[in-house]
Amino acid sequence: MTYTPYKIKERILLFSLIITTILFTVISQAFALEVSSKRDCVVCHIMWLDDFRTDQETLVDFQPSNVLMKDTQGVVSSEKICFSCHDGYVKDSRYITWKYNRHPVFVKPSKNITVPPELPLSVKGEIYCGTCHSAHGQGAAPKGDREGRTAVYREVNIDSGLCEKCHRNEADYKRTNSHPLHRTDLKLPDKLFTLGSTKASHKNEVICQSCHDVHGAKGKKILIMNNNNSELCITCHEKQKSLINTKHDLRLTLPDEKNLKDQPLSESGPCGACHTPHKGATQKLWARPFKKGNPASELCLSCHGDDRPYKIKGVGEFSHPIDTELTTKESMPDKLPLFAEDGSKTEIGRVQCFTCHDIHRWDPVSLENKGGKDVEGDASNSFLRMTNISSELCLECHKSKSQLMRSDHNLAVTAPDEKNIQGFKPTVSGPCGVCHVPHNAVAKRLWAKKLSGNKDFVTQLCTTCHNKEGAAKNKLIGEYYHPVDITLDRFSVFQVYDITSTLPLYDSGGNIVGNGKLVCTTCHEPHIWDPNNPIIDYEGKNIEGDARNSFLRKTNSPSSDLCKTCHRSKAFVDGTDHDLIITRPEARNLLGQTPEESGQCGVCHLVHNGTNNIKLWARPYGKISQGEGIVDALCNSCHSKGNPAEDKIPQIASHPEKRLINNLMHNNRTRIDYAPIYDNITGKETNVGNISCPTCHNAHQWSPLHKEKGSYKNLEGNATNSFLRNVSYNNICIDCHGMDALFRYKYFHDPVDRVEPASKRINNLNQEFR
Amino acid sequence: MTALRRIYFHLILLFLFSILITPDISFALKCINTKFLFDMKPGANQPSDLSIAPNGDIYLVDGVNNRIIVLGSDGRWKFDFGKEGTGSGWFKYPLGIDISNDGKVFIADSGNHRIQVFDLKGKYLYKFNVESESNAYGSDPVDIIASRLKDYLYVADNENHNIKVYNRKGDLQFKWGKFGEEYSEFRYPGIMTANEYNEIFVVDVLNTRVQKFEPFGKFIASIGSWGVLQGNFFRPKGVTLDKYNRVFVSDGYMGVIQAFTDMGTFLGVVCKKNKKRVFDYPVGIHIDKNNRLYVVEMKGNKITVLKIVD
Repeated sequence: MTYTPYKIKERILLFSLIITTILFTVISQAFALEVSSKRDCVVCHIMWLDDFRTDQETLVDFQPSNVLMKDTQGVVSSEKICFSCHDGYVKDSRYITWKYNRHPVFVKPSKNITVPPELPLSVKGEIYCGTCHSAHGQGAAPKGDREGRTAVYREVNIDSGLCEKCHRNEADYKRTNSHPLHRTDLKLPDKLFTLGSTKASHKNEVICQSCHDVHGAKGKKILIMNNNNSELCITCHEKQKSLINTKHDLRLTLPDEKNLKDQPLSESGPCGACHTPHKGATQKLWARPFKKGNPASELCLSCHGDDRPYKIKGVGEFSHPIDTELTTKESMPDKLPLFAEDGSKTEIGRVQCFTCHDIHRWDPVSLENKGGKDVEGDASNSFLRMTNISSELCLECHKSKSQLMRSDHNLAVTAPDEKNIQGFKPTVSGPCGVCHVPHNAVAKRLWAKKLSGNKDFVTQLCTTCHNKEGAAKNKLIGEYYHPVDITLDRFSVFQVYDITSTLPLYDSGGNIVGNGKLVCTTCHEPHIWDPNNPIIDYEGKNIEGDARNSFLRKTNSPSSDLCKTCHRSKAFVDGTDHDLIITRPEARNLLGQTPEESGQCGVCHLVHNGTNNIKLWARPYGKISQGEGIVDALCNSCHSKGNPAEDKIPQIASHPEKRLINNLMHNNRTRIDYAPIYDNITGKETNVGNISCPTCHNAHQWSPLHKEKGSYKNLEGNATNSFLRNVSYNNICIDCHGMDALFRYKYFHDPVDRVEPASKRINNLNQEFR
Repeated sequence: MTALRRIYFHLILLFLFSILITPDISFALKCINTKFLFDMKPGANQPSDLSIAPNGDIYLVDGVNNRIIVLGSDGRWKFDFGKEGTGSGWFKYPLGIDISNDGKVFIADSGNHRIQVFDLKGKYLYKFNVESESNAYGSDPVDIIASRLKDYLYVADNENHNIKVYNRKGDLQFKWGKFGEEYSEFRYPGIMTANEYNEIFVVDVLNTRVQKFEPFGKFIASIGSWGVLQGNFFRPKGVTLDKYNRVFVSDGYMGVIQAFTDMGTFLGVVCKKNKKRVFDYPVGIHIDKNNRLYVVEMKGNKITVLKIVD
């Protein structure tokens, strides 16, 4: 076989044609692939289209500038590009992205935002779609899987982690006093999720997207719903919803008010007036001015404090103490919260405003009762945590005062028409509220009634009612009564009284002090009718008391424990013949009280409503014979015919009238030879006068040698006891009668023996000895 | 030598043929001029599509507000119907609309995956669900055509990338299409229209074309191509035909409307005095018997009415 040159050329041409065809096919397929691949990119990266690099006129303008700061992409993340697919004809995002509010774009991040390098800004340094979104990002997922949450995020956004990358201040919520995140201790209502909230990995976990919706937010600040009326807040904080339309809904009471962020109420809503979800002034997301202190009170005082710019309803100079630690277990409330120093609730803590008040709810019983703008609150509402109409709230801590309810000091029973300074009757103010108001009181002790008179402060408190025109006008103390408004200094000099007694003394301001004055409440505790036996069945108003109750701090019968607290030297009357509970239980004092009712002391002394000035004598004065003084009348009131001690009447009791005695050497109470001389008329101690019964006798002590109680037997005495003041050899008698007085002493009341000469007495004694 | 000459001859023929089939590559803007008549801003939020009732009233889909707005032919507000919800007569982000010759209003209730039918007064008549091939996503009916042919209802299922054909009762008759770039395949089919021969024109959004089908789904032609030059689409959205059977296609991103022959030859861009007329994101378009072009501007929240001059 031979080949001509033509045939060779022809074959070469054919071969070339075949090769060219194959190459053309391969190249065109490669080109087609490139076009297809390119088209997928150019779906978004429109500026990569070659059409812009021809001479032909394009239907859209070429904008070659990059969006990103780094020169890595062409124009892609323009809003228009996103919308061109998300308009419903590829993906319908109209209603989430373009109908409602969305994350700000094409703005520079604020100073509070720190955008990390992995989330790029635009060439202008602005946030744009691509800051968060990228088809090539780690969070990109075709349909939004559970891990990545949604499609085309640059970073996965598990539990709003992507948000927190920029919003670091909000993420660090404790430091910035922002709304807590990632906590699961509150139940998130299902309603929240139907409103557009995003569920977190853990049930009830709060994340940024619990409240915010980056696209499709129906409220401002990209909140999932409008919050102008705090609708979103109360979706979770449902209990606090009760604030709306109360006085704490500032839209009603202070419509022009603005919060710390200068937001008017129309923008902040009722919750936002006091709380801001991010960057509060202090805890509780506080959105108002705040001074240092415990938030559980200081938040309230930011408006209600008298020294604050908002003097709306100040608590006044005299207000219930706050930031007070309750030291005894008894005073710990059962139903009210106490607070730690950081304002958190704690079992053992301090009393703060929040202890009594739930500032979100006007009426603790009724959610319907909102009070209203001009309604003045009372014990049944006023944002109290529990109704106080029967002073239940007060008694949560002041448990020891609960007996007042079952006593005459419960004015709801005894004086229902009495009004306090607020004009409230006891049925409105509660029993405590008649005398005490927690805020804006008239005086210390949260006094709720007008004070008058010039007596000491505490006495004025009592005389508010216990005066001739007061509610307790039938319970006055009479013309003669135990001295009050006195200090015990002069007694302390003689060391008769222990001024550190268990009864309180008060300074002029009503404070309990060691060297204070004796006032009504020294002996009386106005909240406790019976110090020993709590009244269970209160019979009704105006119980007549006696020494066992009558609001006394200590029981005073049968043993006069109260009196003896101060009058200690008189305590030895117990069990002696002068203890009439033993010796004359049927005896009655001027008020008709038996010794058991009046107590040992009350037999002879009336603390109130006495008719006798001298020694507040509780019995009719006895008759006195010539030479006797008024002091003798006291003794004679018993030691006389027809009276309890009629079997103990001395035949002669008087000292010769004209023989005046000077007792300057015996007028010291602390000395063993004390022998008081009394003025016959006034009954007061004097240095020159006549001898009377008490000169020799101390009616409160059986034996001068033994400072002790009696034997509880009716004894016959002798010269060593018999209520004698002393048996010393230097008693007052010796001054005039010499040592002979010691022997006459016993026979003083014997009209015969007392005048015998000493020699005769000695002889008689000798004979007796023989 | 003879063979070589034969080859040369064939190459020359091939060259001449290629010249013949090469499209017009003139760079000058080809215009179809229009005259502005009026526009309507009925308070819609991102409206998507419209249809003209036999009496000339304009039915506008205000999907984001879950309602249909009815306007007079002069643009005056008449009434609206529908609200958000899943109940009968309620909508969830509807997108498409068509009005049949017998005065039935068909709404592609996209978010509720169904078709709802009303009378011209907005009274609810009935509904039927659009089946989905995917349990994961559900159907996504974005447009509907009430055809005269056998009263067929053509439904574009955007998410499932096909066209489903129902009878008036809501029984599926047949369907065609799947995800892809070949002819008869779709990447997100959108708005449709039909010509007098009941041929169907479907906007194939991400394939940047309009596909023309016979009534039973056989592919006829592809209109438009990918790009930003004349005759290209970047995001085709709306399609309609005029009385000359010219196919008008709106492009949302580029903001223009272009005209083609029904076989795909580019005719021109809708212009105003020989300069392209730019719309604020044109979507659904419609040409009435008076040759008035109604353009729904989704971003502009309005309907612009133009008179086609050329």
